[in-house]
Amino acid sequence: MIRIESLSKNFGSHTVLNNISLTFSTGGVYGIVGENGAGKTTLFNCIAGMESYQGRITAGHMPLKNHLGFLQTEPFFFSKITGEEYLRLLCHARHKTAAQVQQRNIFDLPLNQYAATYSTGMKKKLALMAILMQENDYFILDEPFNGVDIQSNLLITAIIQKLKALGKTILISSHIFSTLRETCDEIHLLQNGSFIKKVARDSFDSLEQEMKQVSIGGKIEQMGLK
Amino acid sequence: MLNRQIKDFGLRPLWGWLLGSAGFFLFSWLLFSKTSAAIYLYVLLAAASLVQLGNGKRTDFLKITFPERSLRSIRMGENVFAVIPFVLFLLYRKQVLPALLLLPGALLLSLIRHSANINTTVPTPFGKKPFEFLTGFRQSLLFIFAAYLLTGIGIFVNNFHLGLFGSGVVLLLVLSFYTKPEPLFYLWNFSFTPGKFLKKKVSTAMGHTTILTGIPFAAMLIAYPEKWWMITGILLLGYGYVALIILIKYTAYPDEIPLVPLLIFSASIFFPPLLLGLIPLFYSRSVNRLATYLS
Repeated sequence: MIRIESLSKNFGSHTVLNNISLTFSTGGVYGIVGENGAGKTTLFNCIAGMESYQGRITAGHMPLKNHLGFLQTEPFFFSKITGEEYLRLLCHARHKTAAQVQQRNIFDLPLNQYAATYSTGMKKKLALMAILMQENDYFILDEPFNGVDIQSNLLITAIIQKLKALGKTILISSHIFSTLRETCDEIHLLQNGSFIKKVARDSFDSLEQEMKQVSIGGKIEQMGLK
Repeated sequence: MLNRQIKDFGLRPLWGWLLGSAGFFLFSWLLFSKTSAAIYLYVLLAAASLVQLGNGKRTDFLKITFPERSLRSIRMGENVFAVIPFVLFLLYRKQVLPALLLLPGALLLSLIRHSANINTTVPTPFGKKPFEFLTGFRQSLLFIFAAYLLTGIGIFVNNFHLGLFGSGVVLLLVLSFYTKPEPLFYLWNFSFTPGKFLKKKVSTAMGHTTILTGIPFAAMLIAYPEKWWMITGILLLGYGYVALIILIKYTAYPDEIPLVPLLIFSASIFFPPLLLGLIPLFYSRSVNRLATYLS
């Protein structure tokens, strides 16, 4: 469980998160959606403790950051570190042993190559593999499906479902609605730093329609494509 | 770009250029006063800075940004600008021939694009505890071999100071592994207290420094057993400076190391007893700094 109480975050005079209160239950998968700049990444950084904030964030296992696996939108890799060394580094950081790496390499990544030479999708898969090997209780997956091939998309969806079955709490941000539909129990809509809507699984279709209406509306006609 | 970096450092560009020039002169003067092989090292250093400018990715960026003719003049201008300090100092030392050879060499190198991306994985003995020595060793591989070679040449021609200089260069390279702050994500991942994190960092650095400096320092000890006190002393001081640079880095984290701690670090090189006070001081400061990110 992660409980957020009265969370606010300002960058100078600009308010990015505005008095957010929310609880994510154990074993729940939560989708966080919002336009670019809505505050998703800032929210994730605050939960992770990578940004200072006003308010309170608590979890069943404290300190939360030591039990949290954070898949960033664009994971950074040092220029001369191999995939396997990266896994070892992240496991070592959490007092875990990077055991049976080859066997656990379900994405068939070239772990002996420098990670910086990987494609976008491979980098994402390596970063995901690392946080899975850390055996965390909570996960923040910021755009986990970005740049990933269709086979791995299926695999990541199955991983999320397995993590849910194991009782982990998962927050996902994705711009691909179908991926959220398959994995989430609830979707929260973030707009201008506040959650404006919470949608349960049985209403995902109507949310998608609503989002299409708002996002697309008459814009295609407006562009006058010929 | 250089002006921006100087500003990031907390200095006015003019001061940055003045201090940089003074530092360059001091370094060159020290090099020439300490070893007879200075001229070779100096030319090697100039070539290394030119090779850096000819880096493939950088040249590719210039290529897509500027037309062919402008690209050539930009690259030539950059290379000439980079070697001018070396040329001026060589002329000051009355080393006319190498000074005059450097200029056409720089122009020639401006036409060459080299790829720094050697994608073959270089094996290292540092894989169990990433990451500073892993990445640093691979990025500085040629310099490390050059320093080993220099130590070997020093021993071979029976020039103790040259040998010691070569071994010292390895220590300087180790220090360079710790000068850049890593992205916050890497530090954040550690479920250690700040104190434990720093102790781990320092102990890993000590172990890895021993591995990397083992060959040149052991060779020096075998070749000059009567000067064991000086060789061991330099090595021990090296450990102290490695610990200090780690602590200084995390005092400013996640920002770059600012000028004042860097000047304090330089002062400790000229007056090593300062280490005894600086290590505990920067340890407590970095613990405070890291408390924001580690718990």
